[in-house]
Amino acid sequence: MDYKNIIVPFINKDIIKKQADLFRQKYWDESIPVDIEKIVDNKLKMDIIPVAGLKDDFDIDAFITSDWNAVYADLKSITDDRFINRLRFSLAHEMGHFVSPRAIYEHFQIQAEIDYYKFYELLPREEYSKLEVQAFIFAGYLLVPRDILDKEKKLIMKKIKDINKFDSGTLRAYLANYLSKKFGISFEAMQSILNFDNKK
Amino acid sequence: MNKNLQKFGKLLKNLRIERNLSLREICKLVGYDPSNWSKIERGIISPPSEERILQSWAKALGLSPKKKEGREFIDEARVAQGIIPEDILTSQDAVKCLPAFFRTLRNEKPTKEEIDQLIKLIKNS
Repeated sequence: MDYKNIIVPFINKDIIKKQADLFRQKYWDESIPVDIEKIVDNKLKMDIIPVAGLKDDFDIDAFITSDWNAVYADLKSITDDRFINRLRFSLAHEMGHFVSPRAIYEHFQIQAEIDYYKFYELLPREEYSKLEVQAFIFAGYLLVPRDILDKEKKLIMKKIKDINKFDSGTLRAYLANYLSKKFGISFEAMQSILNFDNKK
Repeated sequence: MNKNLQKFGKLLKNLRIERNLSLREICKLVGYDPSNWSKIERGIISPPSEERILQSWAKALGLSPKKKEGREFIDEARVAQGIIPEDILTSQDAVKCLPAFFRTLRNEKPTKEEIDQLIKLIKNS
């Protein structure tokens, strides 16, 4: 296959949102935080395989295997509670690869190691980035259901007495701090989601 | 891959999922390394042999180590390790062997000491 000329299809964020909402409806209820660990492990029956040094040595938080049966995750993110939100987002991100670009990956017809090397060597960086960005967006929609986010945002905004003094960036950072705990994701991920929604 | 290891790995994972525990949660509960737990579930390595550890796993998975289900779990772990379960050894196989052995040897009823020694021998072999 000519990996150099592959164009990864662009998936509109509304479609990604629909996919994430459907995924959550199928495997979870309406409570938050969405327990993605249980979804991957207990519902999808995938193996979560801890690997020491994945993050430190390879700068990889997690990856899904090409047979779609397992997710390898950095051992520290599993054993150290400080990284639990990072683990959760990584798992949700990998589910983004599982749900959507799975068909794309299968289309690449990677059947041997040599194809795999070729694929990663030749696929243009810009095209590969599309896959990662789409998975990031999926993770955000999956872990942060927007109807609940809107309600939570309204609740917290009512409690801020001097809300008029906040500029929009500061307000989003303030909200991210509170909401990240509510949805069980990192402050940075929550802030990215709020910024992403703000650009709609 | 060893069939017994795989069988025990599947059992371990199914029991954990039935209890609605994640890999992280079960390992925290029993104080075990998640990498090794995952390897056991996938049938790559043997479960631990220590009775105390297996009993704590059985408890965490909702099985009473003193009841049949708990004993069976520990037995499966022993089978996966290639160790014959202790109670099977003492109550079935060993008992089955002993009379035949003694009959062959001298056709006399063995003393308690002789039986004890033989059980030890079979266990350690």
